[in-house]
Order: sequence, then C-alpha cells, then structure tokens
Amino acid sequence: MRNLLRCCLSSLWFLTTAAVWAASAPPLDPAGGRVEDRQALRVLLDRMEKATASLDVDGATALMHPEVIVTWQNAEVSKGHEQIRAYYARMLKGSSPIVKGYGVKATLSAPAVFYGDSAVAWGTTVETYELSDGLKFTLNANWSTTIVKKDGDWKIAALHFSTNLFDNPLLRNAERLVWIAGLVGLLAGVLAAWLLSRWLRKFG
Amino acid sequence: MDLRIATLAGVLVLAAPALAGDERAIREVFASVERAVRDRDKVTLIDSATENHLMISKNGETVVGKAALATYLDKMIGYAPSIKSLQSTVEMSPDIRYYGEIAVTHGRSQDHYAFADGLELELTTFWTATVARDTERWRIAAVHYSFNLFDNGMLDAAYRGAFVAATGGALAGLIAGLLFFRRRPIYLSRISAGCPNNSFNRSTRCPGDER
Repeated sequence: MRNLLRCCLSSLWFLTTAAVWAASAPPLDPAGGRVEDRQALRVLLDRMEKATASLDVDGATALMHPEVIVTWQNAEVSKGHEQIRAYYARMLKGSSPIVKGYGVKATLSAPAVFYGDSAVAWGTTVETYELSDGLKFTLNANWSTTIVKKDGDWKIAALHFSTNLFDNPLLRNAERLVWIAGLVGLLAGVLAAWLLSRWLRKFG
Repeated sequence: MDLRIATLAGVLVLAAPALAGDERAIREVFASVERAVRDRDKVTLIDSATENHLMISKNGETVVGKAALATYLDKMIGYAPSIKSLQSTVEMSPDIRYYGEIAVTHGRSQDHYAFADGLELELTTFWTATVARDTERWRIAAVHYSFNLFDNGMLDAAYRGAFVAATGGALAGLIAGLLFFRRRPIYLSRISAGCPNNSFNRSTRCPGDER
C-alpha cells in the first residue's frame, strides 16, 4: 500500500513538473519517438532551472555528471562538481561576492536531438543580474546542453551559456558611455575655453 | 578474483589504443574545421556536421541542421559575406570526455575578424563541442560559441570610442568656446554702447565708440 502511494505521488510529481516545464517548452510530440526519455529530459531541465534560479548548487550538481563541463557567461570553464561549487562560492558567497542577485527563466527551444543514449538540447534564458558594484541588467541569453544516460538516469555532461556579442546590455551601457564621454568632453572644453579667455583678457 | 582483475586489465589495455585512435580522429575533425574556416571551405565545414547539427554562434544565432548551416555559412563567408576576413587559431583542451558514441570537449580560439562594414575585432572565443560517431567517422553534433560578457573586443572598442569621444569633445568645446568667448565682450560692449541691432559688426562705429 505504501509503495502504491509512493508510486502515485511520484507520478503526480513527475506529471506536475512536466506540465510546469511544458509551459516554456514546445509541446511533446509522440511522433518524435522516445517519449519517456523526452519527458525525463524535460523534468531534468526543469529541476536544473529551479536549482539555478534558487542558487542551489547542491541541487544543480546532483543533476550533473561527475565529469560535467560548464562554460559560464564570463567564459570561465568549470569541470566537475567541485569546480562548479567553487565558482558559485566565488561569485555569490563570501565577504565580497561578485554577483549580489541573480534570477533566471529558461525556455526550451525545440525537442532534443538524440544520439544513442545521449541528447543535445538548447534554448534561451532571461537572466537578471545585480552585481556588487551596483550594476543591474537583464540578459537575453542562449544555452545548450549535452545530456547522457548514466546508470539509467539522465545527467548533464555539458552546459554552455552565451549571449549576443553585438547586442547585450553591457555593450549598450558602453555605447551610452561614448555619448556621455563626448558630452562631458565638450562641456569641459567649453569651460576650459571660458577660463582661458578670462585669463587672456586679464593678463594677455 | 585475480582472473577478474587480469581480464579487466586486458580490456583496458585493448581499449586504450582505441581511445587514442578516437582522440586522434576527433582532433583531426577540429583541425580540418580550423583549416576550412581559414580557407572558406563550406563543403568541409558542412561535411564535418551531423544531420541535426546544432550551432549557437557568438551573435546569438541558433542554427539547427545542415541546410540551415549552409545558409548561415553563405551569409557569413559566401558570395556577399558579412565577414571579409577571419583568422582563427583554435586551441583545443586536452580533456575529451567520452560517453558511448559521443564525446564532449571544449576549447578556445584567438580570432581576428574584419567585417564588411569596416569593423575589425580581436576576440577570444570559447566553445564547447559534442561530437558523435556515425558509421564513417566523428562529426560535430553541437558546437556552442561564446565570449567573456564582461571583457571582450566589442567592449574594448566601445571604451576606446568613449576615450576618442571625450578627447574630440574636449577639443571641439575648447575651439568653439575660444571663438565664442573671444567675440562675446565685443558684442556686449557694443550693446552697452547703444548700437542698433544691425550694427554688431566690428567695422561699424556706434555712438560711444572710440576712434
């Protein structure tokens, strides 16, 4: 009886999680085959999104293969669970963390592509950052992942985040800085000219 | 027990050359891609990809499948390319993780881009690739390119632009200011001298002007 209840509860949890992820993923097409694997992948990615959003590093690494390779937005590469924990700690914890606040909402762009007992999935994220230096920005980013089956469970073997080199909030900030610098330079030049003309009239 | 260990050791010894062969084959895939990028050889680039190949580029484009890859390559390095020239030196990590019929690796490349619109860019590109073995050879199933969001060639160019804008603005302000403030006292003195509005010219003599 207890086993039956546990089975029902786990099925309910599985379906609920799948339904939540389905809201931000293309509908699952049974014609695409490997329906069970696809559902398992969606659950895995949903749990990954939640763990990332809540900065639950243990929850995130539990979903990853021990030899996982992760490339972050700052192009740093973490290999294995320990390096990922160290990255999280450096970025988000300690007396002087680099990132003060972080949020993420992930979307799956298309059904995963299978290569035997491995799959490639990809999508987009909307990430919000609050850095310790006061800079706040929202980043529209891309992610891709390679997922492998290990002892019957799907685990993330590679995860890579990126954004658009030519259109991102940090570049827009820097481009605004060009205008501000030009304007400040112009005003400084005018002020210097005024002081110089006064000095010339007085002593010239 | 000894027999098991001996068998395992034997399997490992036999498997080692196979892995070395795979590593060599995978490294050759990336070396051929590097050459193909340099030579703008679209045929080799497309042939290096699996049918459902995924590529996420540095400009945020997601390209899925060989047909889409061909279109993307046409746009970037084809007849009227966005990229005028690209020099790229690929550094592949020694780490290759094998998972059955696929392998995952990563690396970086030092790139110099010259775009058709005149922009020149030095960039360190970071990539993760998944390669899959089909009946013939290893092909690239997925490759994701990125850069350091907080420190990259585009940001450097923007900061250089800010320095140039500040210097240019200061010079323009100084010159305009000197011209303006040099003339302003003459206007003011002539207004106070009671000159009519249309006589604010240095050659005009107004009541009160000294001869």
